[in-house]
Amino acid sequence: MVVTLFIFVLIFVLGFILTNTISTKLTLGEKVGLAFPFGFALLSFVMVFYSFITVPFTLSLVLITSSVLAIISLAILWKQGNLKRIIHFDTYPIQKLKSINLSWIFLAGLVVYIVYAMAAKAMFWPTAAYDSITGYDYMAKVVAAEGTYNNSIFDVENPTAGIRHSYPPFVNSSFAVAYMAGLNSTKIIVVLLFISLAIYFWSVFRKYTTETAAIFFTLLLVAVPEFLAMASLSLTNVPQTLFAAAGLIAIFEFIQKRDSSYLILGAVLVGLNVWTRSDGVIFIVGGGLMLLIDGFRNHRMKIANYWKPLVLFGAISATPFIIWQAYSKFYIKNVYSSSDAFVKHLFWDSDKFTDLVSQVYTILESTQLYGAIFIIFVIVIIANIRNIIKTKPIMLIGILISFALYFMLYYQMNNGGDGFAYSVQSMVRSSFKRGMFPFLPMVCFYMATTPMVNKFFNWIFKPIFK
Amino acid sequence: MSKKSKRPQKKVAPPKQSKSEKKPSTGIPFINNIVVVFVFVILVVIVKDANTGYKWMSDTLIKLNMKRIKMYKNSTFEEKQVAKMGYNVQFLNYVSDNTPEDAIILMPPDSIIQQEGVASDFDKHMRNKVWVSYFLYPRKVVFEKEKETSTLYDKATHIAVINGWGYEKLPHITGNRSKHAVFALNL
Repeated sequence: MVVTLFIFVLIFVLGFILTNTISTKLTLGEKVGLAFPFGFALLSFVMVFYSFITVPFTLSLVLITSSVLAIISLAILWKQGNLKRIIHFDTYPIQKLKSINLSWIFLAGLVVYIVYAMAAKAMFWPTAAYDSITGYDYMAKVVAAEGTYNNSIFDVENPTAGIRHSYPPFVNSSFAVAYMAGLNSTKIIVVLLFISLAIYFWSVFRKYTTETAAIFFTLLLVAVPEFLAMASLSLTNVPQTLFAAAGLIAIFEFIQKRDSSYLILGAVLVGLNVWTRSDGVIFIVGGGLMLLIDGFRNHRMKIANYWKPLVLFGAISATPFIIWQAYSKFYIKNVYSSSDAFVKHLFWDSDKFTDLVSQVYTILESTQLYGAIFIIFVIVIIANIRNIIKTKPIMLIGILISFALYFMLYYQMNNGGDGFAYSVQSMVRSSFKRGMFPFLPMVCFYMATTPMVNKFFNWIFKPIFK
Repeated sequence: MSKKSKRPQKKVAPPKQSKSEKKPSTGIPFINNIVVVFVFVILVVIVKDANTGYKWMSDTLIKLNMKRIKMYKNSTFEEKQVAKMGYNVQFLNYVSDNTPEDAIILMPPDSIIQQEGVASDFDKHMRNKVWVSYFLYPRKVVFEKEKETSTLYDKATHIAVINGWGYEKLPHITGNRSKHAVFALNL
């Protein structure tokens, strides 16, 4: 028990150091929110590295290697003169907490209760989700036992590999850490990532709006029924939500502040989103287009000023995708190929388009799945329409572009083809609806930062303390 | 040019950032807070009951789960697995406990696991090689249906007897024959 606790504390510390290496300017809440996700990501890169050089790894080897990398990170910070900033935080976010009111306390109580309920459910029940048992959790079990990604699941004599075993390694490896730490369930990882998600987005929201609005939108996010239900299962969508949404928000922050540390943070986060699910590649394109549009829009900017960020963003965010695709293609024998799932050329099929629009509309308007989030989103857009026309907010553009790309991804699917028997309807009702999760924090963030919402919260809520 | 523009410009201090810009406004009547929080509570209660998604989340996902957690609070990990996934897992844990880690286990045909028109102790997942492999790892699993395709078939060391199927491959087994069991193939 003590050893397991030490392992998880160490992973947190490693992630915290890594977060600071990428950007020392984040608030304490943001750093805490990203510590576990970055810690697990660091371990997963180390695991893939050892698999690549065909050295079977153990948890000790992975932790020692990661610690060495963390020490190198500290040395970089020291050289940059940023070492102090690890423990020195901007006190404004803490001072800002003094402006909390009774409504904040009520809403925060609901957030804590919902997160607690999710954690209790996840921790209590063993893994039972089909996707996890036949996919990520099984892979994690085998990776932990055999110390490599090129393992017996892909054994030519006895192949048990399916599409989920060729998914990028973030979730598999994080789950493998739990098994290697001696736990009989991987649910602790799911819980830690969900808590990290709640802390991170709350911390980001409160940088741009009032305390009450920030906690309101955090509640709106964690209380999305389908999101909460899936969060307690061992699936890939929740970690992807954290990485993809946080990544595009960081790109927005870079555009706002022209601070390159946010660009790097955004690129790393979007890169980790494809380190979790390959379909997250749409957010690389989405983030890239946000930068490109910003560059074109800002006529005073020299070309180098926006090509440089774009190239940097593309190079960093695509690297994990390239690493995993190359490793799985060239080093894992008998890997399942998902290429049959897509039509490899552009096409126009009005029936399929109409069918897809209709199916997608049905799930998006379903308050059973997403609660009131999209209804409020529409109201907020209408309320801010003048401002939207005038300023064309880049975050909203990023959301819409990414959604259009996500829609196109499903349009390109070879439904009913030889290698992909699933219908449009079944894909939208299973996969698409979960794939909408990364848009939830982005939508909440956009809403929280609109002038009308801020006006509304300033008007309706008044703080208790002077 | 107007006369006004010729006048020497007075130095004007840059406008001070108002307090409200620096931090959220403070100092309001306590009663105001009470009213707003009351409105919020009412709103949450109404939305929770009016919206099927939030109602399901509150009543089923949260409250019912909390109740079930209390109900099973003294259960072991295996008991919880069985509560969630049924007899499949109970049987696979039994197979796991009674075979060595390097065992190759032969599983019956699909038609035996779930016989048509007969209520089965098992569900469809029991016919899924990957699903079964998860619970039996590091043991290997080969199904009767793979007889012609898998080289593992001839190397099977154990047989999972399900619904009485498999005893015909075990001539040495006499006496009481359980409906579900696991045996070594070559004793």
